[in-house]
Amino acid sequence: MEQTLSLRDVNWQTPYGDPLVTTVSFAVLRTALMCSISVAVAFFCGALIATLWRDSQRWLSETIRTMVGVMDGIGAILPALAIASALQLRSEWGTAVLVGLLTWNVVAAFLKDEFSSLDRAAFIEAALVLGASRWQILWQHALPHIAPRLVPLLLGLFAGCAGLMGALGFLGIAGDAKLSLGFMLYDAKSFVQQTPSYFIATFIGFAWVIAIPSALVWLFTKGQKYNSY
Amino acid sequence: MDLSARSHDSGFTVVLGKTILRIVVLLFVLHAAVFLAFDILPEAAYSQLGFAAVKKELLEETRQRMGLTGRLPERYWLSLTHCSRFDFGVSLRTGYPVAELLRRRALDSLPVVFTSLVVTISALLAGSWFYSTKRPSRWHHCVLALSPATLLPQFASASALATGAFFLLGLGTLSPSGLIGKSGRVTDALLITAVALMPAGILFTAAAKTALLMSRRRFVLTYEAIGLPWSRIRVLLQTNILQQMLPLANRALLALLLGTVFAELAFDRPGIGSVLTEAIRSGDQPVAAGWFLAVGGPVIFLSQALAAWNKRFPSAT
Repeated sequence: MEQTLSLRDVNWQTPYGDPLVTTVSFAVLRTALMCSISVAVAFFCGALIATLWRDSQRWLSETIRTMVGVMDGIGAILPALAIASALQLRSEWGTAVLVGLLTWNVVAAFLKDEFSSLDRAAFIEAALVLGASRWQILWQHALPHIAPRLVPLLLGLFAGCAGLMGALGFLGIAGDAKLSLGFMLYDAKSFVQQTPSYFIATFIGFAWVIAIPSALVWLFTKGQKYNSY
Repeated sequence: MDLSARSHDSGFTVVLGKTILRIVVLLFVLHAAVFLAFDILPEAAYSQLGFAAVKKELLEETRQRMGLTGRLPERYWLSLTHCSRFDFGVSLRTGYPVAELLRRRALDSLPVVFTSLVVTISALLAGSWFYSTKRPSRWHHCVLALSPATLLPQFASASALATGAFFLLGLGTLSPSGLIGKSGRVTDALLITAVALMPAGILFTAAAKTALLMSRRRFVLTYEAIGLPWSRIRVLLQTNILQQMLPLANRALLALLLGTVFAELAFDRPGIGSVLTEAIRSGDQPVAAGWFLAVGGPVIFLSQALAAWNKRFPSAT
């Protein structure tokens, strides 16, 4: 006998009896909030270290360069796994801060390069000659100048942090397991025969968190390509 | 007298010396970090027993058993000497030596990791070979445009593939033929796909893009001008493309390792990846610490060796 599947046949509840759409939407928003915190922490630490890197003595700048190289080489997941498991992190806020602390290298390397190129820029020299203060130069000249490259970097970092937090949740290490998209993906596997909609909704929710910033990065970089012609 | 040869040798010695020194320092840093994280920050005995069940005598006994007694420098030195002999202690859960446990689990994972490595290298070679063309077709562009989809976080792709396998198993569509099952061929293929998807995607995309760029270089025009056939030019291009891929080798191997961790967990397979998850979830800290030392050492060695190689022999472009 031929069977047709309609939306009414879909189970709109999680295996725990909660409403599916609300639960997944809440988890997505929570992940987005945590990722924003991670990006803010990474940006703050990266900016601080980039300033140190630029203004410090040779040995310190060499040490920071080596640290950035090492962190680029080993990535953030392994250290995050080690620290989260050693500290037995249970708070999602703590995990967000930890993820931010482990991704500063991306921002620091970017800002150091940008600051170095701005040192020789004619418009900065002109602003200095006209008597602009350090803060005025930073807010009115330097930040608008680097914004077209900084924004895609931060959006990419957001997607990266979402992946990292999802990975930690998937392993059941950090944060409140029930609210983590990563753990929900792992958990949904066990219920795939009874409620496949749970897995599909969670997967789509996670894909949104990754896809939206990635699409924005693509739009930004594409726009810049056209502007440069 | 060949002065250039001598300067070349001394440059190589300096880079080699610096690299060895950096690797040694980083290994010490890794050990110190793991030691501090696992032996000091959380009270390992507390995390084993739980705060509610702590009795002074029991706590002291556990600390004795875990080697957490004595002053900090003594404990550090003891840990360092043990690690130098590849002795990572004993599992709290099973009482089994950690080094032996890791060795056995690594052997369990070896077939999957090796096959995934072969798949990854094949993807690299395929990208490099098929995209070494001056006039890419619509198919070339189409595949290249779709390739970023392989860069989906590894746990998500592993989860999707494993769920797909379990869903098919539950419906029984393929199970009568014996293709699906815990150790069936389709499940194995999906497991290998989950492990190799990201590293293969990274290398394929990078190799394809590099090959397209290389094919438009001036030296290719020179090759054509002297009458070399395109098949020969394509072979000559491969060395340049593969040399460009060297900085990505470390990232791809790291992705392979993490892919193993996620895929083994998603597919419920025992191996070097799942041993970490089991250790972390059950609070078996010696196993987790041993895993990070045993895996972190080669990762640091490889990343620094590749960085040094890249510095010493920078690519032609």
